[in-house]
Amino acid sequence: MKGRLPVRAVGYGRTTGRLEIARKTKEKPASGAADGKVKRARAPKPATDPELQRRFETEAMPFLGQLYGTALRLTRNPADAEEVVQETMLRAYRAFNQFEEGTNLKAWLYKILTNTFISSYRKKQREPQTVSADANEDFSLYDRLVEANVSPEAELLDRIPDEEVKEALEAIPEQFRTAVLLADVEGFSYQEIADITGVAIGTVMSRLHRGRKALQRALWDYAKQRGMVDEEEPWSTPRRTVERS
Amino acid sequence: MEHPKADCRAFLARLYVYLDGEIDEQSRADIDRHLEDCTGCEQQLVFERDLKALIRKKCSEQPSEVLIERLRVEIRRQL
Repeated sequence: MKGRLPVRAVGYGRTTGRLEIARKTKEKPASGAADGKVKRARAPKPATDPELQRRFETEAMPFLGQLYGTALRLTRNPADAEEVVQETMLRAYRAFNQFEEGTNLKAWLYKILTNTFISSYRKKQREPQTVSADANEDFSLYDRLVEANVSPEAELLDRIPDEEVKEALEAIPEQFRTAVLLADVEGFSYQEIADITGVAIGTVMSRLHRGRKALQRALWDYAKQRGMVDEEEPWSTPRRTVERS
Repeated sequence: MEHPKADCRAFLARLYVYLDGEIDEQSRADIDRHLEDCTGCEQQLVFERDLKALIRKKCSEQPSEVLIERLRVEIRRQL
């Protein structure tokens, strides 16, 4: 965790320094947040439905690790990630009787995860905008490498430590970060991401584009700072050296 | 600045849709044909594909079994 920003600097709760989950969801459970189609969830009756509990255990619980990984990238700190994942699983359990068997359970769980994260952090704190994704819309890491006369190969970027790439991703504004996480790390389709985040496919594509560009900019800045590439004077060298057909 | 040709521009515009496997059949065929005789675009495709894989690799998080078990116990307790 070397180099990670102190919790307060990324804008979490002023009093506790922690992201806090809204516990009132216990009275108004899960399904509203989990799935727009479901208007009302039944009160939790875990002990009376061993079959539901068994199914939840065998079908949903195995996603725990993956959900935690995504929660960690979203919340940017392990304690918050644990809380978000726990709350996600509790919400999921309470709504599990409304989950349609045979449909996409992973996407369903990720929708609850995303909603849990959003409702918990939006309540307590503002999202820090450490990277302006808009400013990077036309940024191309590939072009920059070519312009810097560096062979544009991803192996170069493989030398950037994992922690740095994670921090670069975590610095991207939440909506763009979520899109990149769901598409590039979790491998969801555009349609699935649209369903999970509750926006149109066009919005998913635009967020994904801007998130990727912001991430590319951050990787470029890192490579430059570490002397992996030379920063060229923008007015002095030929712009594009790769031959197109 | 040397401007890439129209086919290259079309490729660049659809690069990520192509990489994400979200492209329609016709556009995929057009791009595949273009890639056969454009080394510049092919090189960029390889780069962007590797970059996507690299981000996946570096940003994935596999929590320890100990942590997962602790979470599982805590969740079960609250169910």
